[in-house]
Amino acid sequence: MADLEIRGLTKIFPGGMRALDGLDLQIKDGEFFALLGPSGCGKTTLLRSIAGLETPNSGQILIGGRDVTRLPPAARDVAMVFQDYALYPHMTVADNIAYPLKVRRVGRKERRETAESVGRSLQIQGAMLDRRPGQLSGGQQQRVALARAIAYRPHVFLFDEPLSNLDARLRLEARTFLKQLQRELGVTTVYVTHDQAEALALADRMAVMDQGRIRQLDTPSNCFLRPANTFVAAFIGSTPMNLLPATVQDGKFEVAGQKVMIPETIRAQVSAGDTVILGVRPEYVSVSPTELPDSLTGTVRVLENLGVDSLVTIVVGDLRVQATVPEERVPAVGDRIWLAPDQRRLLAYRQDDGEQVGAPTVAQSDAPARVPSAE
Amino acid sequence: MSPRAAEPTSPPRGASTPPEASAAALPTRGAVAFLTPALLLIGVFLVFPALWTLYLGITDYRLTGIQAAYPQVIGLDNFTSALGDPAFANSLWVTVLYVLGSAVIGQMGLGFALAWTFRRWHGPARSALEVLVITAWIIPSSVVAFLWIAFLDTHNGTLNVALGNANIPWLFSWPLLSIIVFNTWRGTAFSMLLFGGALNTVPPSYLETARLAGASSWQQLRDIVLPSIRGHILTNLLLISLWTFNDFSPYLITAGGPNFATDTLPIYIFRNALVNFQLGYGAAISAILLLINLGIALIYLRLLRARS
Amino acid sequence: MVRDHPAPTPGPTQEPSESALLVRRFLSRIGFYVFVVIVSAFFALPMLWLVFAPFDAHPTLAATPPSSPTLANFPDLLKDPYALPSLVNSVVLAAATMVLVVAAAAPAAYALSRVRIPGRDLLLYVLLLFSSVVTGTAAMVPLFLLVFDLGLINTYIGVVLVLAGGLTPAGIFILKDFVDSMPKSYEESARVFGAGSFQILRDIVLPYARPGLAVIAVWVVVNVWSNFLIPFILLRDPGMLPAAVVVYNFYTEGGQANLRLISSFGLLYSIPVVVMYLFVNRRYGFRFYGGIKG
Repeated sequence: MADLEIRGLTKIFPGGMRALDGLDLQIKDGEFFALLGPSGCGKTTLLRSIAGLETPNSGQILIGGRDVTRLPPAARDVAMVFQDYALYPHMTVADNIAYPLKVRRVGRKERRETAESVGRSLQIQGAMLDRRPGQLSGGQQQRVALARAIAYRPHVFLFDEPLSNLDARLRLEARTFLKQLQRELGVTTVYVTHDQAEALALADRMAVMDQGRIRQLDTPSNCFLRPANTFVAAFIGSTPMNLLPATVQDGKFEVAGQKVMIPETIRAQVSAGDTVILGVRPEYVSVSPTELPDSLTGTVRVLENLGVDSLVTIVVGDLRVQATVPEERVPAVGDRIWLAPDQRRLLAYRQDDGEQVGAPTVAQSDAPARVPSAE
Repeated sequence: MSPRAAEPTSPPRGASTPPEASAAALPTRGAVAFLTPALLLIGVFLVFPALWTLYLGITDYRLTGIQAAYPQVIGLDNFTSALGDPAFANSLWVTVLYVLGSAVIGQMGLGFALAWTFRRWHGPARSALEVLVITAWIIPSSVVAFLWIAFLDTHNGTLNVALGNANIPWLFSWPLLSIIVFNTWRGTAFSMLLFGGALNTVPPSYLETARLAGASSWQQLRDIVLPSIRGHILTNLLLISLWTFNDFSPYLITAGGPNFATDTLPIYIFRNALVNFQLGYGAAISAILLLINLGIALIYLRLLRARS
Repeated sequence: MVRDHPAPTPGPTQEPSESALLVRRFLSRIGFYVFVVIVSAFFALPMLWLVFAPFDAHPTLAATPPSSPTLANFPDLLKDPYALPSLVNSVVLAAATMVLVVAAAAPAAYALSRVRIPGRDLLLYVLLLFSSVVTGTAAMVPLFLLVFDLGLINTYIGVVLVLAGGLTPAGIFILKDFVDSMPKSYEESARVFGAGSFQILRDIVLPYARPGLAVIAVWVVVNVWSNFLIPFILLRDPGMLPAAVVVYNFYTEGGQANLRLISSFGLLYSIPVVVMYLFVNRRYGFRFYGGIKG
């Protein structure tokens, strides 16, 4: 069990591509920490650097207070579960699980016992222990990979998109299973994924990354409710957040020629004439067939059924605004309706850098003093 | 390959590692240790002798006598005497004919013909023929040599018997032709297999298109297939030419005779170096042989690069 | 690239008449059959002697069915002091060379597969070419002298080292292909679990590349089994000679060639490699040559 600290980590690949750009990060002991971001953002590179499979150009990695930056993977006491599970095809399940012990030259009897006990806790038992990985289903293989990591008894678990090879239904079950398992084991876990729903569901805290930098480091709840910038706002959430350009005029936001109230928390941060981008999730936009004060109005263009709710796309001026509406109040295409954003959930972002206006700056992980690159 | 860290959007299996070799893949120390036995073995018993050939060629080394203890560098004397020796010229000529006849025309031609015939022919008959051809290749050369001695025997050889007791002295009147046919028989399998694989890489749609446009089999072959497999043809040509140039097995049948009619370079070298013990001279011929081989390889590389 | 069928006569292009097509097809069928028959006879006839003569009490050089069928030729081989022992010698040489080549080529293939040295592929290709050129003949002289200077003339060690040196490049080349196909995550996960390079090679890479090991093992054995020249020039003691040389000695010794001996011994000597090839072909398909394509 150990905490994890990253200081000023930079990794530049040959060709000049900056995969990691002066990252700072602290993960608490026992925490389930997610690294979320699109392809190429550096999350896997960061994970591999923690494992020791990549050497950073500058910066430090500390596990449990110990500087492991120059240590080989074997000396770091971390276990990694790969996307393809990396189960050795010629070994039985039991041998696979016990392999970390074999490396440590543990005796055969003890290896078998450990494989059985660890396997039992993950429902891998009986005849399954003597099968080959190729004979198992995807879900079973995944559990074997987990068992192998657990048998190693590391200080940190590293997961590289371990659920992405499972089909959708299985993925949800495995997700719950994984969350519970981590709670029980209490081992610090770093989890890489590109699926924002997965990160929100699993993590205690998460870092949203883009192009080698951390754009927001916060609890899932905060990332969802108060994204620190437009990048995070657009990336998180199953339904895309509405991002609407607006200007401050006469004490109100003017959006597409219409006026909306400015929330109390933001009022002090903006002055007349400022241009901002307003952000509000479709879930926090109320819809009414009759006129509402300080609201936007427009015509319904598209209806999408989401199951419990429907996603309604409304044309407001030359903008499109989306709102989710419960099934009993779904309007018809062509109706004129009024939209009122929830004042507590309305956010404003600066137009130049996409950062949030108003709310106190959420924890940003690129420290102001960036470590100069070694190249 | 781009240096971007590969972060998949719809992740395929295990596609997360950047393309450059990470130090974790194999630390340099381990890699060197793993390479050492092989490099040592190859270095001492393959590379070194090859280079030493070139050195020996310029000495007057012999196994006995004063030249064994104190070999002198005699410069290019060995080479000049070799090039002036009519026996060497004969040997070179014989070897060239041997290579052209048995490798270029014989093995390649027959191998390709078989591969082409096998294209759309399947079944027990085809498998049987394939096995026959390959067996001819697998049977050890000393046995094959005797099989052909028996086959071509003047009085009792199967060939003569089959031709109605013709009693034609193949090995004495047409020795070079005999060994050419022998080597063709022995080596066709390799070309057949290689061309078989090569023909499989020609997309059937190419040939279909041509056939629909009215091209005959021969035209399809000439215009589409041959250009497509040019690389394979060149590789095959190179390998079997080199192998045939260095082939010692005619010795097993004719020992270079009668009257040096089948005195290929390997046999010539053997006789001079290890029978007459003129090691320096033998080495010089070997060096010439090596250089000829290098020349062939270079021509091949140039031709290969010309296509891409 | 695709050309129109040329007009047979001047004037408007016309399709060949149906009967002309039928004739052409008929002729090509005939041609096909003639070709197959001739080629089959060409390959089968010289081999027939090896099928008939060993079972004939009075064999001639002609490949005719046995006039006096018998199996006695084989036990008679035991009487010859060199025949069967030479088969044992061949086995020893083949086995020893195979072990040495695999031991050298496997780690080298792994190292070359995972470490990216600039020009690695070129180097490998050059080495392979080299080994095709240099084995035996062109380096006859220096090999002889080298082994002589090392005091290894007339020893198996000398023969095995020379043969292994010539066969290892091909072994590395073939095996590297197999190792290349192993996902990097296998060894990375093992490395994170603390395994060293040698452990990874032994526990993960080699078991994974087992088919490749089988291919080169067979490749080496077949080559060594048939190799005539190296034992011929490096071994002196008749009792140490492998079957490749002994067969040759049988039919070049002065006097009447003992056809019963030659045929039965030749057959015994040839069968193992033929069987081995057929076995490997059935299980793995002979893919080694694929790696050598241009």
